[in-house]
Amino acid sequence: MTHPSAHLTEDERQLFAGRELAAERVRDVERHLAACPDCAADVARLERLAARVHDAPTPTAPLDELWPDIRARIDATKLAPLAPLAPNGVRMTHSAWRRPGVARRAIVAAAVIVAIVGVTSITRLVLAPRMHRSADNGMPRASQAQTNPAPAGTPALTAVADSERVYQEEAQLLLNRLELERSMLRPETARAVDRDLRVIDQAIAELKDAVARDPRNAALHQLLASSYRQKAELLKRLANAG
Amino acid sequence: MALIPADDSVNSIGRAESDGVVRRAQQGDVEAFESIYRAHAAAVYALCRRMTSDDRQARELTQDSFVRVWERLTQFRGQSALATWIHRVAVNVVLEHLRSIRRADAWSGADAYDVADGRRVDAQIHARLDVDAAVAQLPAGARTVFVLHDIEGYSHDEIAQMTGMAAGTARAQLWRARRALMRLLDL
Repeated sequence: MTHPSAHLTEDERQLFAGRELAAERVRDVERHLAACPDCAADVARLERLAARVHDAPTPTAPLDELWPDIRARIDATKLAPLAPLAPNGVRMTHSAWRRPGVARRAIVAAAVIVAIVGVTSITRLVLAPRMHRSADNGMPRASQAQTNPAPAGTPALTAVADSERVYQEEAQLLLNRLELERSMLRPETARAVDRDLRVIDQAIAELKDAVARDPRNAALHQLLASSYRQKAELLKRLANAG
Repeated sequence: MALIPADDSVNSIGRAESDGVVRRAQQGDVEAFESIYRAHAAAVYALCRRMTSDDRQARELTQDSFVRVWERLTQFRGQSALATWIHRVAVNVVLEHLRSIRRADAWSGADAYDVADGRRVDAQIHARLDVDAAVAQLPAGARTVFVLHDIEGYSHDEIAQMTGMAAGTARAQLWRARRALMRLLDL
């Protein structure tokens, strides 16, 4: 609006309608609108648009439908990096599992490793902190930092506990699938699988017992989560081999 | 016209934050995070729905937004309200999505205001009854600026910063978006 008789500019109309016009300009624009029906009508249309938009209903969010996928993705990101329990030699290529006898031998080997690592780790993790406390002040040495219990509710402990739950659920799903396919296994294979799983489950049971005695020990939780993961991986490989 | 948050979820948001839910979620408590999701998801979904004008994309982007909120929650220091922070995360997620799919004319959209285009007639008739349907007729760039400014309440400078447009360009897009909507809504 370079002259009182000229129409308002687009900026002036839009800013005035949007209540964004600089305060020192408002009085001039109001005066013009009072005298100019064209500009007043246009500003009124802009204000009607603003009111229409303001009164428009908010799109309804399908909250319950969206959450499960978000939860699943969060769980996937929460899996803590777990140290491998089995040596690299146990990890087999997919084609290797298709060779007769290879899968079962590897399962047995891994199961034994799980059992051994589980039992020795429990011993180390549960007993070592007490055995290695300094005699003078009772505080654990720095070398025990890795096995020191994490305070309850810390991100590390929570993440490992979540990993433990995820791998446990995965292992259970695979076990359910195995039950469905059991009739397709040769009887001696089914017996061998059961025996191997019992070995792994025994190690897991011992770890769970240790966790129950020392629930704040993050290292124990990590070991238990690793055991579930190992069990899930073995079952997955068995399923692939089948 | 700022509508953050857009409904009566203010109370639940306040409760969530005052109860230390944010702190628990930052420590990895998914149940705490779910309560944050339930307090803020409606506003995020509405933002995504209006900026994309597509329910399927809005659902996916809402999920992407909350996964990103989860991933970055430890970076939230409380310098702004949680609603504002989450909203900003969601805006960035949507803008990244729009940039990834934008067509050559999506952001300039000069010709897309031609409401005489025969392919748009049916949509225009429907749009006269529905603001969201009218907003959906805007080209992506204009729609983005309109939603961010007139619905979500961001300033021209903030929009310029988020979209990478010059502030003057963002403002011009807004003026043109409003004019197009006035025609579409028969105002």
